[in-house]
Amino acid sequence: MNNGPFIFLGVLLVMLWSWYGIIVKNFKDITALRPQPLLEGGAYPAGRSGTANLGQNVYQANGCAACHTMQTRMKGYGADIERGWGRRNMVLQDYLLDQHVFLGEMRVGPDLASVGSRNPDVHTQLLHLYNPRFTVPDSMMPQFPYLFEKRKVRGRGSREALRLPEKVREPGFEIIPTREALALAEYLVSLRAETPIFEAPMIPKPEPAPQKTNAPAATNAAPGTNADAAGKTQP
Amino acid sequence: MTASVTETASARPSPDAESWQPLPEDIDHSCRLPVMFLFTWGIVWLIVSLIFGVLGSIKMHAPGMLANEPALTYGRVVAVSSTAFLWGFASQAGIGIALWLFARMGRTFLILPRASLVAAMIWNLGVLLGVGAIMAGEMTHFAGYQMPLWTAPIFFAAFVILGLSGLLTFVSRTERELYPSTWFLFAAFFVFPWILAVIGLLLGRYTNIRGALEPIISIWFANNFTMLWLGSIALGVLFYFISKLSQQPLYSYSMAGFSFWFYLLLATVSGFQNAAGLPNWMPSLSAVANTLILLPVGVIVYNWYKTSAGHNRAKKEKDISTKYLNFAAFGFVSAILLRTLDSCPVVDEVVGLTVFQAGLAHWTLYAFIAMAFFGALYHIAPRLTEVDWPSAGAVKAHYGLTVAGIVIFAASLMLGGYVEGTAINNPQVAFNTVSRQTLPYLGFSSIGLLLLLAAQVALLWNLALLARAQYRECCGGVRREAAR
Amino acid sequence: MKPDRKKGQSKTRELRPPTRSKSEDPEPSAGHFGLPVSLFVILAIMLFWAMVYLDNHAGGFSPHVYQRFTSSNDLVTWIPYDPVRDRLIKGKAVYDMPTCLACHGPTGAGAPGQYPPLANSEWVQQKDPARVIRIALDGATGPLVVNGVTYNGTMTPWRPTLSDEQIALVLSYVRQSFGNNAPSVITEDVAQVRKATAAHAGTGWTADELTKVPVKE
Repeated sequence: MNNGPFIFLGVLLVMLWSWYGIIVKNFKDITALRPQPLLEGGAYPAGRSGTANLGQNVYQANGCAACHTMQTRMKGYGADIERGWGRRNMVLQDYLLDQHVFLGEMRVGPDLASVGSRNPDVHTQLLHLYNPRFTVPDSMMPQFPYLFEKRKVRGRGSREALRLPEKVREPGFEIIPTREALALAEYLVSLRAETPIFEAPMIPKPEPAPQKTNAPAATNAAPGTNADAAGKTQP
Repeated sequence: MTASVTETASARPSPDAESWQPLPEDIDHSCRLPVMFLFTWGIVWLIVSLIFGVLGSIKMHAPGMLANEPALTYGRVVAVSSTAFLWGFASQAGIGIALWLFARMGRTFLILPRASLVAAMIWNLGVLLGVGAIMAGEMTHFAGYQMPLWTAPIFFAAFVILGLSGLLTFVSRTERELYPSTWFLFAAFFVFPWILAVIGLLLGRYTNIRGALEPIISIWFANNFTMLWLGSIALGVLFYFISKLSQQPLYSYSMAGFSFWFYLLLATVSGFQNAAGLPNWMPSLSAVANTLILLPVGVIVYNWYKTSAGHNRAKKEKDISTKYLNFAAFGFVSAILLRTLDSCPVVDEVVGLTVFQAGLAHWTLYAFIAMAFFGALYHIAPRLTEVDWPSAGAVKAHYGLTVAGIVIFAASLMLGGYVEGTAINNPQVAFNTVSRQTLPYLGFSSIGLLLLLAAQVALLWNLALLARAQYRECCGGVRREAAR
Repeated sequence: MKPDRKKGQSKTRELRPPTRSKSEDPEPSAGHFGLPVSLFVILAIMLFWAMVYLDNHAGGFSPHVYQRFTSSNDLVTWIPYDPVRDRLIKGKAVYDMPTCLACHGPTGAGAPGQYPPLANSEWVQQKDPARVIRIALDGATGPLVVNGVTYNGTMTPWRPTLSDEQIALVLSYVRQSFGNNAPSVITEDVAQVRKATAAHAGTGWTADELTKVPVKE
C-alpha cells in the first residue's frame, strides 16, 4: 500500500462501484420508464400545465424543500395514508415527467405529494402563501408577501385580488398575485398522486378467490393470455 | 543552513542529497501562505454559516421575522448556512489540512504554494458568488450543493490547482512508506472532483436527466461529500494525530488498510436509508452498507485504542489538539452508530423524515468533522506562524462552547425528531399539534447554535491575535533591524 | 535541492529564539501487527447476513418494488391482475400507434364516405375472426358494405408492420370496444392465417374474396 498508482486504481474502482450501482443503474431504470397507458384514455403521469411546470422553479428558488417532503410512505409504514396525505405511496412513476423532484428530507411542514388533492383551490393556496397564518392560525411557515403585489384598487378591483380575512383588509388596496405566485399555486394544485398504478396498489390484497373479469363473453381469452400473465412486470 | 544543525531533534543529518529531508519548520514555512489563508477564511465562513443558522432557527419561532425580504426567506437562509459550512469552512479547512499533511508526511516542501493561494482566493470567490446567488433566488434543492450549478466550474478550477498541489507534493515525497493518513487524503482528493463533475454535468449541464434521477444524484453527492470527501480528510487527521501526539506508532498498518478499503466501499453507497419515494433496494442497500460499516469502524477504533493505550499520559494532557481529536473520534463512532440505528426500518419509520435527520447530519458535521479540523488547526496554525496561541482562555472557551453547543443542538433535534415522528405516526394528532410539540426542541437547538457561534468568534479572535503576534515577530523584527 | 538556505526560510530566524516550548515530534509511523483471522470470519458472517437481508428486502433490485414488498411476485399478488384488462390496454396501445386510430378514429366511428366504422360492424363482430384477421393483414380494397353503407376505398395492409401478437391484441381490443362484443383473437390464429394467406400478401381483400372465406359458427 505504498504505491500511489495502486491506491489510485483502488479508489477508482470503489467510485466506479458506487457510480455504476447507484447512478448508472438508476439511469437505465428510470429512462426505461414511460407514462403508463390508462384504459380510460391518456397515460399516467400526464404532465403538468406550463404554468405548473414554471411553478417548480419558484418552489426551488424559495427553498420549500427545506421543510416539506414529497414522498408519501406506504400504508402500514408510518401513518401518511391514514393522515390523509395521499391515497397511496409515491413512486418513481409519479415523478417521471418533472424536471425537479423535491423529495425533501424532513417534515417541518406536511408532506406535499398530494396537496393538490387536499387543497384543489388555487385561491386557498395563494392565500396560504401570502400569509400562512391566514389559513392555518399557528403555522410555522414563513410568509411570502414578495410573491404578491399591493396595488391601489381601481374601479371595482381586480378579479385576481386575494380575498383577505376581514381584519387585515386595507380599504382602497388589494393584493394581486404575481406570475410567480400563480405558477407556484398551480404547481401545488397539480400535485396529485391518486391514479392507481402497478407499483403502488391502492386497494387491499384480494382474497384468493377467482377474480372477476370485466369482459362479458370472453371465451378465448384464457389460454392465450397466460403468456401475458407471466410477463406482466414492466419491460 | 547553519541554524538547522542546532535546531530541534528531528533534523536529520544528511550526508547525501537522496536521503536529505527538509526540516519540519521549513516544510511548515512553505505551507504557510495558502494554508493560513484557507484556515482564516474557513473560520470566517463558519461564523457566517452560524449567523445564518441562528437566524433560521429563530425564524422557526417567529416565522414572520424578516420574512418579507426575499433574500432572507427561511429556505434561502438555511441554504446559505449549509453552503457556508460545507463549502466555506469544511472544504477549505480540509484542503488546508490535507496540503500540510501531504507535505509533512512526505517530508517535502509544498509544491505550488502561491498558485494554491490564488486557487484558495478563487474558491472563496466561488463561495461568495454562490451565497449571493442563493439569496438572489437561484438556489437549488440539492442537499450538498445548494448554490446554483454554474458555480461548479469555479470550484472545479480552483480544485484542479489545489489538488495538483497536493498531488505533486505527494509525488515528490522523500519518505517512501505511506502512512495510512495519506491514503485517506488521496481518496478524498480523488473523490471530490469526481462527485463535483457528476453533479455539475448531470444536473447542471445535461437536461435529459428525468424525474427521480435528480434527487438520487443529489443524495449520492451529499453523502459522498460528507463521508468520502470531508470524512476521509477527517479520518486522515485522526490517524495522523493519534500516532503523532502520543508518539507511538500506529498499532497495525494492515488493519488500517483493511478499514480504509471497506470504509470507502461501504460509505459510498450509504445515504438513501430514509428515502421513501425510491425503490426499496436503495434504502435496503444503504441500510446494509451502514450496518457492514460497523466492522471497519470497529477495526479503526481498535487500532486507535491500541495505539494510544500505552503512551505518556502527562504529555497528552497538555496538548490542545488532543481534546478535540478525542471528541472527534467519539463523534465519528457515535455518528456511524446513529446512522446504523437510523437505517433500521423500525427506527426509520419513526424518525426517518423528521428533524432527527438534521440533528444527525449536524452531529456528523460538527462532532466528527469540524472537531477533527479544529484539532488539526490548533496544531498546525502555531507551527505555520511560529507563534503559540496567544489566548489560552479563548482556547478553553472555544472547546467548551463548541462541545456544549453541538451536544445541545444535536441532542435537541434528535429528541425533537423522535417526538415529532411518534406524533406524525399517530393519525389522530393534527399536524398543528405535531408542530407545536416539536417547537420547544427547536428552541433548544437555537441555544446550541448560539453557543457554537460564540465559540467560533472566540476562535477567530484567537486566530487574529495569532496573526498579529506573527506579524510582530516577523515583520516587526525586520523593521527593527532596518531601523538600526 | 541544495541544503543551503532553504526556499522561504525567514531571514529573521536568527534574530529570535524559537517560541515553541517543545521540540517537534517525529512524523507518525505505523506498526505491523497483522490482521487476525477472526476479522475475516466476522466479515464473512456479516456479508452473509447482508446477502440474506438484500434477498428479503431489495426486491431483486427492481425499480418497481417499494417498501414492504419483497419482490415483483409479491407485488403482483397485491394487485388484482386482470388479464383481460391487460390485453385490452395493450391492444389499445397498438390501435393508438396510430395504426388504426388515424382512419377509424378514437371511437371506431370511421369517417362517412371514406373509412368504414368499427363500431357495431358486422365484419368485426363475427364470431370467427377469420375474415377480420385477413383484413388486418392485407387490407381491403373495392366496395365494402358495412352496416348497410357502402365504402369504396383501400385499407393499408399491416402484414409487414405488425406482428401476430400485435394484430391479435388490436383485434381483441376492437372486438371488445366501441360497443362491440365479440370473442378475443389469439396469436396462434393470426399466425395460422398469415401462413395460409401468404400468397395473398400485397393485395387487398375484396368483399367477394372475403365472403368466400369459410367461417365457423
